[in-house]
Amino acid sequence: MSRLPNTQQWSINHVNNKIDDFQIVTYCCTHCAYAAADLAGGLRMQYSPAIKVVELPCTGRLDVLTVLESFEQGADGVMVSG
Amino acid sequence: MITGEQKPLEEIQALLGDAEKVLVVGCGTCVTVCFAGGSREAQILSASLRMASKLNDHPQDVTDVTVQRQCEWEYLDEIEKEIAEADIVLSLGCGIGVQAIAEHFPDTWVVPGLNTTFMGIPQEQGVWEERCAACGDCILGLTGGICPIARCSKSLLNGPCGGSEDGHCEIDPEVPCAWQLIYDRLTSMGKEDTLLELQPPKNWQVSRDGGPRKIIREDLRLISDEA
Repeated sequence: MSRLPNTQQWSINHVNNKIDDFQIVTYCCTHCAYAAADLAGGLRMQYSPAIKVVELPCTGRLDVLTVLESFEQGADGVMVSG
Repeated sequence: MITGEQKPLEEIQALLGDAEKVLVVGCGTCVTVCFAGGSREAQILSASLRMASKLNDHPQDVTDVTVQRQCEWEYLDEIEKEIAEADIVLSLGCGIGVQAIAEHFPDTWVVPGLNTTFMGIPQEQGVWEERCAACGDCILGLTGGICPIARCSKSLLNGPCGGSEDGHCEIDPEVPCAWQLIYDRLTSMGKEDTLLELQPPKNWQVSRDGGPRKIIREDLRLISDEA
């Protein structure tokens, strides 16, 4: 994907510096990763606003078509957390 | 079922060329159950082509539609409008589906998205094996239900040959010797005497050696030639 920076450039700092340039969609299982994200919020932990969390009942619900649609809709990266 | 495998994306892109509007047509029968060209594969391929063409700075309008069977006119009639709007049609059906679209829509340029591979069986999830070669003169009644035409590398009628080793074929130790399978099955059923009868040369005229084949069933035709 040409919109993605190369691996060397890909760092948290880079994301933080250019927040508006990137959109990372992360699909989270409600039972683990989403609960962790919730806890992170409760603890006032900071993470990049480039990351958009989508809650799933289970990451087994995730389909390759959903991932492809995320990219088509403009996501620069997709993270699956479960 | 008829099995197929999707062509590499680069080959498909080359077949599509610079066409602006691409219609991907999936087939809901054989290639759906072998996960090569059904509705899901058509959607995934469409998304991949849209993104790939965007990255190549020549965005293509790629849509998809799936019919129950590409090899029957009635089902193709249902997508007449979509076909008419497309510059090019990418068929994810088997070779029959591609030809049916080309024949039914003479003004449409249609290209294949699959390599049609064989008639076979899903041996286990993700594994398909060839079982029938459509030779036109079935001899499974003599061989215990194991086809030496499709499953013996040499299609021998009186096997096994000298290349059979420990029950496997000389072409690949992973490939079982069809004649070993036949012998084992007939022995287990007490019918090994069947093998003592030598089989005469087979009639290959009813296979591909006789040219393209055709079946005419007068009892089923709506208009008979004799009428």
